[in-house]
Amino acid sequence: MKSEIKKIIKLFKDKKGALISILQEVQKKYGYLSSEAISALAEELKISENEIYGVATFYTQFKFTKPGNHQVKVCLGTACHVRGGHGIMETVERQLNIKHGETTKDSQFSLERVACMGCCALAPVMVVDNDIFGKITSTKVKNILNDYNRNGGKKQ
Amino acid sequence: MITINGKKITYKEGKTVLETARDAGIYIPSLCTHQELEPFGACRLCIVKIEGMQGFPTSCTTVVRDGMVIITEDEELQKVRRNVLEMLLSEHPNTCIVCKDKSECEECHFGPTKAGRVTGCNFCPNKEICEVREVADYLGLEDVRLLFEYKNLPLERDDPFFDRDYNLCILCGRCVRVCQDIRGRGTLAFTQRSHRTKISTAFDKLHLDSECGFCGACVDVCPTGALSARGSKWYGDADSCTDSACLLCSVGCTFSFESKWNRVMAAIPRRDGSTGGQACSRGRFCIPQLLNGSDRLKQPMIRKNGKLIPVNWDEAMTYVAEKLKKFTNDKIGIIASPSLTNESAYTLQKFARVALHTNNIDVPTSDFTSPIMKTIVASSSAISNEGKIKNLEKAKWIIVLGRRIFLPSSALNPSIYRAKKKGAKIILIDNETKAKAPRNVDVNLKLGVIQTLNLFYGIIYKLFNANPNLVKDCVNYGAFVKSVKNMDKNKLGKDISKQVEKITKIIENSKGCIIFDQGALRCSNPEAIVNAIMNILILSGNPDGVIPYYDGGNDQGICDMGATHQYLPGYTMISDSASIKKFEKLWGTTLPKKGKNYREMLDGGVKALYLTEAVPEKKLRNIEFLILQDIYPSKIMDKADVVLPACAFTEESGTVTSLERRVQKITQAVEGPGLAKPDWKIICDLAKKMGTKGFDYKSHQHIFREIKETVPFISSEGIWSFKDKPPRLFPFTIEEKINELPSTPPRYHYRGADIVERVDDFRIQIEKGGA
Repeated sequence: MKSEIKKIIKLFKDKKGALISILQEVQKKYGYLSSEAISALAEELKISENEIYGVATFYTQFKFTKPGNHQVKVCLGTACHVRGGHGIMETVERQLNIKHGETTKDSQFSLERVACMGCCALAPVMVVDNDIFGKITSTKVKNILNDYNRNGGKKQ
Repeated sequence: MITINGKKITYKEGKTVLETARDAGIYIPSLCTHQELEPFGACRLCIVKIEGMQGFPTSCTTVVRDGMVIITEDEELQKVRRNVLEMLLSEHPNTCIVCKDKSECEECHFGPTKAGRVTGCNFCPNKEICEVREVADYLGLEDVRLLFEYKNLPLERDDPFFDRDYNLCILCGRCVRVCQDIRGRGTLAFTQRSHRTKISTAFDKLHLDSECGFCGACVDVCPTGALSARGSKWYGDADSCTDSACLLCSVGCTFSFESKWNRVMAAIPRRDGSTGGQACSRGRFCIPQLLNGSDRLKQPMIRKNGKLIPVNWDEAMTYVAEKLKKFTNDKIGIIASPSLTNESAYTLQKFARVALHTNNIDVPTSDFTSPIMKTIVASSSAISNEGKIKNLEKAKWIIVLGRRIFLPSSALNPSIYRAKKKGAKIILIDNETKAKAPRNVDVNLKLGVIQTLNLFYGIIYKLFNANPNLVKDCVNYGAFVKSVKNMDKNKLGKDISKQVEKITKIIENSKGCIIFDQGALRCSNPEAIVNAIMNILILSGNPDGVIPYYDGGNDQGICDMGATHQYLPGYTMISDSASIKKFEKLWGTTLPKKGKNYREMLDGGVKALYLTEAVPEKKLRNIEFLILQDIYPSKIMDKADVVLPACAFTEESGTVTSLERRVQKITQAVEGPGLAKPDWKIICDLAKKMGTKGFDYKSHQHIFREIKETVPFISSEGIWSFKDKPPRLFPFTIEEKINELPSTPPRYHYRGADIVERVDDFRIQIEKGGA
């Protein structure tokens, strides 16, 4: 990992204020910012890892847990909120046994809340990877997630 | 001239409105500013009105300009401030602050009530010194109209020394800034954002895993009870505060000792000291636990029938006096603890020379101190009054020999970091091949002691040849030039020559400092290294930049006082029969010309030994009569014939000398336990019992007056220096016969008390590798 990170830092050598760009590159490479990646960065950049972590946590774009094989996004925008998005979120959380922002133990799913997917007519909306599921109910959620789990990622 | 609240006030260029107002005695509330830290503008309480400026500028970030008309207090400002404070308090437990019965409650609640969770001021460890309450009182806040939201964060109590309850945090950022900007650590950072913003480490790791040095700077600046020292948080108001200094290492940080029930409960760093209010975990947190142990020596004891029996002082003194008379003078030895005060050390060496007629007196750290003293006495020119630690900040390069000086909590670290921020290059030379270089180090060379010496010779060669005329006026110039010319560069080795190039490039044409600890001198000819260090500093124009990092709290002072076998007070050579006449006349005695050093004394050179500090008991040989004068029992007590209880540095008054040769006061904060007495008093009593004259000192000041007479360079408190001595160069030859001695791990102790053993939290810190 260290050599990879050195390579990334080289891209931004001697540029001031490049920390966020570096973090973005690291996230692009690994999918998230692991604690190892941050300590390696700290050592190379000669700033403390706590400082880097502080900067990174300010931005929602950075993730600190390894993303699962499937990205589940539940919309809690205005329309979805009105049509019971929170109930959907709760169901998904219970089904996967994680909170939003986390990844399941078997690294199959990671769950995120989003503000609007731009298809409010379909509310409430859930998105798995790139597939959009509209007008979903708690029962449907279970089936959808089960399908993904069984088929290893392919939609039925 | 500016106007504040209608009053004309003179100002200093470059100061902020807040500083100017405070200097003039005008209070402006603020929770995020701190005199040590850069303005931050976070709390918005210090807003003022300035004519010609829009809105309410924050006074902490506004620089004073001529002719400003400022209003710091009116109903409009107070209203805005109250609103700001209400918002702050909507996330900080506030029931007690706005309680109607506050004043009656205060009358019956003395100090904080111990509680698991802090839900109000009465349960807060910071109750007595809370800045939030101060501001609320000033603004006359009666109600918080916003809904209170308790953050319900877990208490963080798994780290040594201090607890963290971020439910009380108001996010002023002082701790983050002091950790990053002053200490250069960056253990704390703002994480997350908006409502969830929190001060924390990366991934909420323990401080033990986050490069924390446990210096306590964050605890000292926290305006709330969010950060609190675990050992002292529940004692409430102290009975008394005593300004004094710490003796656990030689940096000489000044502290205010808070005492209650005749015990030191906390040590708060004082900002007027040489380190500017920065200390280390030992000074900040360890002193109470270290010195308040229940097993402190409280009574004199004499060995009778194989057992140590408590006796009174008179009996003990009579016994010792009679026993000592049975030994011939050169068979009696005295070990002076580097933790004695100057007064005690002076009395002790006078006792050795006048009462016992012996020069067998030395410090246990003499391997380190004696080569330093020899070189310093020979070379030291006048040094600046500012002090070496303050000057460290101005250095353009700093060579550090020994990783220990770099350990995160070392009180020299902030000064090194400040220099680094101003562009200084930091070079660390150590031999720990596995350890990573600390973050603030620019160059880390892994060299043994002998290689380091060769590196220095190479640097001296380069520096001298670059500018030979610079040092023309120095003593020994001719001999030095000769030795440089005779130097065989090939003897240095290829690797070293490369390093020489590298380091010389950094240090040439600029002034710098060299800090070294005892590990740097571990070879058969330690003097050569000290000489080389002095040569480099003189060649780079800053002979004042030598900083020896002693282990003992008062190593420098003990040597100044002449409690060593080569020197009388003030570095008068013991063999110099002309100079010692002055002392013979003053003390009314004839002085012996020779003495044994520490090793010789322990190795069977003496039969009766007077210890003022426990030494490793395995080293003792052929001792027939052993006196131990200490604060705690130790293994060597099994061999002691007499045990005398002494006072620790919080229990006596006197002066000590720090590594920058700053003579500073220590003041008695509490009474010693049981019958314990200050060392100088014990020694004087003993001398009187032995019928020796000249020990009728009434107080420590009385002794200091005599010190001033005998030691010409010490006139009062403050930095001492030899006046008008030109710098001296040291000729050298590259020796091939020098051996490197094995290095020993650093010992953290104060007299017989091992800090690692006695303070659990410190042990945990050491085990994690950062002290």
